Amino acid sequence: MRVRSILLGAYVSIALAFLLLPVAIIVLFSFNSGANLSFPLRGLAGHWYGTALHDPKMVSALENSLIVGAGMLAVVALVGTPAAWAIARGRFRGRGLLLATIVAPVALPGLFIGIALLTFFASIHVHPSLRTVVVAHAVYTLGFYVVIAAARFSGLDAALEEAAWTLGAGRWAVARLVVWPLVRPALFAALALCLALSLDEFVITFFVIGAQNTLPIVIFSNVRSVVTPEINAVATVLLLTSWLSVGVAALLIQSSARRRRVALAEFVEVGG
Amino acid sequence: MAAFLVAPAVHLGLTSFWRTAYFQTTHAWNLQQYPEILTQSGVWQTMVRSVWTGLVVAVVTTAAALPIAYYIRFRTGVRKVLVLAVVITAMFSSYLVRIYAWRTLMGRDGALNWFLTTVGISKHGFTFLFYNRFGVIITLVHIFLPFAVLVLLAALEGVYVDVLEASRALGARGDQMVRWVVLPMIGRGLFAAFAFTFILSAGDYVTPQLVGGTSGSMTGTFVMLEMTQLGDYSHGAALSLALLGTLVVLSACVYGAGRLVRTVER
Repeated sequence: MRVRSILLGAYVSIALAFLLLPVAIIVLFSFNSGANLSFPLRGLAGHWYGTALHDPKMVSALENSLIVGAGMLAVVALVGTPAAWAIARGRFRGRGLLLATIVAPVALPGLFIGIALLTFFASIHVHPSLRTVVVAHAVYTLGFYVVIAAARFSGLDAALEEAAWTLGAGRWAVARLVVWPLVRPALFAALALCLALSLDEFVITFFVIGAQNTLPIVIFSNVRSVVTPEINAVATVLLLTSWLSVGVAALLIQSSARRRRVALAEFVEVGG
Repeated sequence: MAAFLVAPAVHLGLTSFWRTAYFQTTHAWNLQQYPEILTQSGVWQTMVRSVWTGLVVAVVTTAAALPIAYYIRFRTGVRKVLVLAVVITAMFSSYLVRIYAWRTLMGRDGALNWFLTTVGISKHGFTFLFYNRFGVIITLVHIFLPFAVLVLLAALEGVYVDVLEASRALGARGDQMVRWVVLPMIGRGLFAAFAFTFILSAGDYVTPQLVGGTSGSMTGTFVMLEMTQLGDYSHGAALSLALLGTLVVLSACVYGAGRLVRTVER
């Protein structure tokens, strides 16, 4: 039993090293002062970040990524929130089918979504641009958002809304004063997650991107041809933005859980 | 928004039965695309290679993920949180950066060969590590391992310590416990992790392109070339749908086989 437990621990440690090592090496190389992408390192320096920061191609790619991210967030929030509410609360035929369609892109290879959108946009004479990328990212991330939002909506206690109705609150007041504060952390967390996915999206984007590139596209074209060391700095920035978004999502969910526990404790104290 | 998935998907299906030349699709029926895939040996070979690579990746990933998920589920405190945090961090480490990282690691002057030559295991470093199918498999396992861990973790949430203790009290050894108690309870999760990894990895086009070399090329890379450079949308559409169809049918077969095994066991 003891041996088995040690073996399991050893295996998990090796697996974690396997997961983290390649990424850690890219981050390490981004601080390499030499221009070669090989060991041993020449010394540590941050000048590749400066090079990237002064490269107009990189800066505009970062801007484009953020523009796409913002557009995607707007679309997903506006379309996904009512859809999630309908899926969580509605009792209509085709509810399962709607959910399946929205969630399908999560389990489909990006290749199919990408080429389907490519031929579709071509057939309706929409030229690839950042706008088509926004649509593509919204199609891809909507499933993640709707699943999280619908789960939160289902978890709402309908009695709270009924109580507010009884106390004379209108539809708008119930939504703003009762429902919104309860679902806000989960919705923001879901959006942060979508942002992380969008910033990193390459597979679908590649097929619908126009002349303006996003960060992953620039990284790809760089990696495919001549690798310049500044790409490690750009890659590290991309990693950090993803981790930051996910970190924000995790904190939001944690704090809302804690607040709910505190509220419950107070309620019990007052009641008891 | 759902319409933006359904309409393009239907359109892709139709395109595969139309004719395209130089990025211009004409709505003329053409039923030649699919038979062509079956008869052109080069196309057929890459298709088989895609499916085979996907199968290997899915089996390795699912098997490698199970102990990690098990560890997270049944350990407590700092270790549990730490392992979970690493898995999630890895999951949200850019897909592209990770492929690129493996390319950097496994290249001729890569960190791996530097390590091997410095330690003295090999004088000139190994060449079998990079730009072939092995590299593709390693990279894809790396990409999908965190997903698989989380899927299996969700399945293991339903397995309680009490159940395991009960089986132990009834005299089950560790391996018997895993075989007869844990595995049957997480059958669905195992299949989900397998199918998810299988379909997504066999349909990948970036990894084979960046780390695969010539022996590692897969159908996805061909589809990408058709769609972006050769301009034959119809051929690319047919190729990708044939691949997706094969993947879904094979996943269904694995599901059916799993059911059969369970029925026979009972």
